[in-house]
Parts: sequence; C-alpha cells; structure tokens
Amino acid sequence: MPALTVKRILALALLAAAAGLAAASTGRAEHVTSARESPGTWCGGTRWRLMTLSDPQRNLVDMHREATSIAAIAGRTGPRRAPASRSTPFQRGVWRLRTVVDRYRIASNGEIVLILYSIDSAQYMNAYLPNPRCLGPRARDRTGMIAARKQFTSHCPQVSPAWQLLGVTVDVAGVGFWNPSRRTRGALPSGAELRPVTNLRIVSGCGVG
Amino acid sequence: MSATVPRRAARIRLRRLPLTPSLLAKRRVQLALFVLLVLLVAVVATGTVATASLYRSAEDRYVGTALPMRTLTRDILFRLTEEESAVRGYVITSQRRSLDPYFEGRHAIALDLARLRRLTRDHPTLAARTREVAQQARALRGFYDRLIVFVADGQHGLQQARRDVLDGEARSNRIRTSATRMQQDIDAFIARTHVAQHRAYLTSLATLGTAGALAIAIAVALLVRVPERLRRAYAEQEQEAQASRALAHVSEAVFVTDDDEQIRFWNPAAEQLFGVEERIALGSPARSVVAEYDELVEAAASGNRLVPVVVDSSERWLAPVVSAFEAGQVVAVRDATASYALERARMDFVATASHELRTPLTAVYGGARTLLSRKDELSPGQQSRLLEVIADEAEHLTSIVDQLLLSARLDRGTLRVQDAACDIAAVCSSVVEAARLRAPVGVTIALERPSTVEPLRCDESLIRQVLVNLVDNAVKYSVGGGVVVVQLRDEPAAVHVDVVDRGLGIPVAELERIFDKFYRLDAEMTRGVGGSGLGLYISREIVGQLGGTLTVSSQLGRGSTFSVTLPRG
Repeated sequence: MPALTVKRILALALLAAAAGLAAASTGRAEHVTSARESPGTWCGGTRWRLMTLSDPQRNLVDMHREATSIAAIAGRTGPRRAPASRSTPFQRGVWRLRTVVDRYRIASNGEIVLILYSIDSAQYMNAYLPNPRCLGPRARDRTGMIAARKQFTSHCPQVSPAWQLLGVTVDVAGVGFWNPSRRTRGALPSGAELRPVTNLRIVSGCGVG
Repeated sequence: MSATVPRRAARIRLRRLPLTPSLLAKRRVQLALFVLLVLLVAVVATGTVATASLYRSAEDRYVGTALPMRTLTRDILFRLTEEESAVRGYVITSQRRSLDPYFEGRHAIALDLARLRRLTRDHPTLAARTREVAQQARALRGFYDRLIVFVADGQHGLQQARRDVLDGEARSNRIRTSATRMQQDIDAFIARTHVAQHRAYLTSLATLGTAGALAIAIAVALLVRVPERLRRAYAEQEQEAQASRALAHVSEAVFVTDDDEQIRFWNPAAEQLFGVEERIALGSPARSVVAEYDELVEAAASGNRLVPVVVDSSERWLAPVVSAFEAGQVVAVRDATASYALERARMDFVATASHELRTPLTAVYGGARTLLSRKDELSPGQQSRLLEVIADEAEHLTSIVDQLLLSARLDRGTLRVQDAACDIAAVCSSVVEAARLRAPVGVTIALERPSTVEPLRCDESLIRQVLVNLVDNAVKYSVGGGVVVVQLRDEPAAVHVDVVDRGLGIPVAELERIFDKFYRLDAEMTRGVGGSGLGLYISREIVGQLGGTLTVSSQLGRGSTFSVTLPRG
C-alpha cells in the first residue's frame, strides 16, 4: 500500500472518528438535557434562517397546510440554483402529506432528518425536524416545530447519528425548502424538502395505533 | 226611543238558545260524528305510521342497513386478506407489481369504512364497532406500510421485513375478531329490528283493530239510531210546521213563550194585532213586546174577562186564553172588540128599549087609571082625549114590537118578500102624509115627486116600512125643527128616494156604524133623541133584500141625506 494511500486512510479515519465523536455528543445532548439553550455554532450558515423559519421573509409563508404528496412535490421543477431567499411558491407554503418514515437520524447540527417514503409512487423525500436550540426568538411557529420534534422523539426509538430503519406512518407538514445538496440520502432529484417540519403526527407505528 | 227597541230586541235574540231536546239530539249526533272522525283520523294516522315504521324497519333490516353492513364487513375482511397476501408477496419477491392488490384494497377499504360510518351513524353500538375495525385496519395498514418501506429500503430492510412479516398474523386476527363481532352486532341489530317490526305490527294491529271496532260500533249505532231520530225529528218538524202553518191562518193572535217568558212563536195575526213584526218579536221578552202581557195572563187565569189594550191609538178589547205546556205556554188572544161593542149595544138596547117601552106603557097605564078612578069627574072630551093617548101609545108600542119582530125575522132569514106591482109615488105620499100627522111642531115635511112614475115591482109594505123609518129618523134628528124633504126621482134603470133633513148630521166616523144593529148615534140621549137602534139596520136589510141600496151622506150640524135606490126589473 503506498504511503500516500495510508496517509489518506488515516486522515479519513481521523475525520470519521471526529465526526463520530461530534455526532455522539449531539445525540447525547438530545436525550440528556435541554439546558443548553444557546444555539451552537453549527446553527449558522447561509440558509440557516430559511431552515428555521427565521428569515426576513418568513411572514410570506402561508401557514395553512396544503395537502399534497411526495409525487406531487417531486413533480415540481426545482430552481437551477437553490435560492437563499423565499423566491419560489414552494418555499412560501406549508405542505402536508401522509407518508411513511423510512429512516431517520440526527445530523451534526442537531436536526433530525426523516427520509419519507411514498408507498404509492415509491419515491423518497427528506424532511427535517429543527434543533430547538437553533430556533431563535424570531423563528415563526417555533412552538409547532418544537412540538413536532417532541412528538417524534417521545414515541420513536432514540435518535442516533446513524440511520435507523423506522417504517412509521405519519401525517407530516413542513415549509418548502430547496436544498443545494441533492446527493444526500433520500433527497429528491429536485432538492425539494420539507424544512423545517412544523407539524408531525404519528398515525401508526412507534407504539401508536 | 223607537230605534232603541229593535236594537234591544236584536241583543236579546243573540242570547244563547236554551238546550231543547232537538238541540240536545243534534249535539249528541255531532259528538258521535266527531268521535267517529277522530277515530278515523286515528286509524289513518296509525296505518300511515305503522306502514312507515314497518317499511323503515324492513328497510333497516335488509335493504338499507343490515345487508350493506354485512357486505361491507365481508368486503373489508376480503380486502385485508388480499392486502396481506400482496404485502407478503412483495416481501418475498420485492416485485412492486405484487403490491397492486394492496393499493386496490386500501382504496376499497377506505370507501367501505366511509360507507359503514354513514350506515352506523344512528346505531351507537355498530358505530363503535366500525370505529374499532377502522382503527385496527389503520394499524394493520401501518404495519404493511412499514414492511413495504423496509422492502423498498434495500437488503437490510428486506431482512427486517421478512423477520417482521409474521407479526402481521396477530394484527390480522384482531381485525378478523372485530369483524366477526361486527357481524354478530349486525345479527343482533337484525334481531332487534325484527322484534321492533313485530311489535310495531302488533301495536298497529291492536290500535287499528280497536279504533276500527269503535268506529264501526259508532257507525252502526248511528245507522240504527239516527234515521229513527231523524224521522222523529222530521215528523216533529213537520208537525210543528203544520201547526205553524195552521196558526198562521187563524184569526186569533197566537204566540208561544218559553220558561223564561221569551217569545218563541209569533203568528201573523199577532203581528197584525200588536203591530210588531215576527223578526223583532222572536227571542224578545214577552213583556217588552206586549205591554199588557201580565194582564192577559192574569185575565186568562181568572176567567173569561176582556182586557183593554191600546193599539195604534185605538182601543181594542182582547179575550186571552193561556195554555201551559212543559216548555212554556201558548197565549191565544182573540180580538173581541166587535163582540164587546155588540155587547155594549145590546146593553144600550135593553136600556133604550126599556125606556122606549116604559114611556108609552106609562102613558097607557096613566090614562087607563085616570079613566077608571076619575071617570065621573072627567068630561066626555077629556075622556076621549085620554083614550086617544092610550090608542096612540099602544100603536107606538106595537110599532116597537113590530120592529123587534122584523129584526128577528131578518136575522133568521125568514122575511118573505113579495114581488108585485108597486106604486112607489103613492107609497111616498102616504108616508109623508102620515108623518105630517105625527110630526112635532116646527118640523115641516115636504114631498118632491115627478108627475108620473113608471110602475115598479117591489114589496109595497116593506118599502113603506123603510120610508117610514127614514122619515121618522129625519124628523127625530131635526131637533128644534126644520124641513124634511122626501125626493122621488124616476130614472129608466131605477127609482131613487132621498130623505133629506137639516138636522144634527152624523160624524164621518159614524157613517157606517149607524146601520149596525142596536147602534144609536145619541146613545146617552143627550139630545133627547130616543129610539130602538133598529130602524136603520132594518131599513138597509130590507132594501138589500129588495135588490136595492141604502146609502147616507151627511155633514155634522147641517143634516143628512139617506138615499134608497130600487132597480127596475
């Protein structure tokens, strides 16, 4: 094995270990305490305010949930470049759908990522339960977002940085979001996501129903 | 005052009529018919409600609720089995095509449950059972979705799905158990509906039977009794109508009062006698219509006594008869004014005749006693004078008696009239001459006659009697003297004899009554004019029997003219 390759493997291992430590510490934080209310540094970023409904245009969002399906959302043509502001109708609406959560995990920034699966169309889509610590006082429907996360975490098995199979039928609603990264697991080709999730109700699974 | 009386009478008529037997019978028939109507309405209503209830229960039992519920429950079970098979197939084959029955079943079950919810909306037990089935179906679907997701997720998920797939057995059994209970509930519902249907049927049958039997009983009773009652009522009505018609034609005033002494019948003669119309009299108190009501009743009770009443400013004498019956009394009133006048005339005649007979009798008696006791003291001339007085007064007595006898013959219709040639001029001359001999001082009697008079056929003695009466009458009422003229006029068709005086004259109101029997113009003899009151009566009757007429014209204080017309032939 060449030295460069070994170094590269070591570097990757260190990086993975660091990421694992970070994820482990975040997972603990979810279950251990809610005392750490100040947003971590991971809450920042260019689209952070969009992801937590704290952006200046948050009042443009029509909070009436419109019923739709993953197939319908997948049918929307995404922007060539993911916008940093609420410039598309998809971003200005709250979309409600009944679907099945295939997998879930907690991200490094404390968000819980849900991979939604449409039984009918066999399509996946991502939805995000924001980290309560990242929700500033200006976040719109902060209560709804926290309640959605609470509904999920209180019924379903403990979240972890690793993906876990779940198979829970839910009614979920969230604000439309265009993710510039379209290669994450469960992402629609258009990058359309529900982010943040403002409402979640478990219909069947996780001991419900 | 006059306007107040009709208003009062109208108010009185508006008072409630007493409960007479006919009114009572009418009320009874009305009540029976009303009860019959109510029963018929009850029969119709019960029949309608029963029909609707039976239809609804049958509808519930089979068509509307039970059968669809059974079908839907079975369909749900069938679909769930298909879903289970499809999901298991998908878990085994990972071929998405295997899920087609699952998708179809999911859609069909959603529709079935929605319909079940609608059907069981009014049945709490079944609705709860439907909710239970729906909840279990939802849970089973969640389980299937989980398996499908796992299979779709990849190998790891597939393994997980294959491990979990058998867990669905328990869930399927639970929902099958619920569905079975649902079927049992439906069977129980059908049984309850059947009982309710049977109960509704029996209740309706009992109600219809009872109401129908009562209605039939009432109808039969009406059929049996009403015609007879109607016949009686019509007979009574007819009887009353006949009585009313008869009473409408009697000359007596008849009215009927009830126990409250209100007038219930009033015949035309009563209208005429009392001057009150029937429409006003009926329903009014008797005393307000007939002021002398109490006197009439009292007079009838005490005997045959006449009651004087004033109607239209003239006095009438009424003879009442009162007959009491169970609901009031019948008052029949005869207008006895004429009889009363005749009675008075008779009484006047008795007085007058006594006076008329006593005067000559006294003269005859006095003359005869004088001749018997003082014959020797009287001169032959005085004796002769007394004998003349006796003869004259006897003649006067004879004429009075003759008049009475003639009057009696006229009344009986036994007067014989001779039809013979009659020299009326000679009769007039003879009567005038005889009258002149008897005429008092100051009274001149003249005869005006044509030189010749065509012969006339009549009864000379009777026409003489007439002319004597008329001339004596004229002389008698020429109080204080005057001229009495007998005018004879000969015309081709008739002979006219007028006796004209310039005496007291006759009031217009008395012109016709002077020909009544016993009527005398100066009944109280205030003018000293006597008479039997038969002369003019006899004269008119005789002239009538001779085929002629006797009329009078007079002016009070200026004399009278009595005209006799005797037709020729």
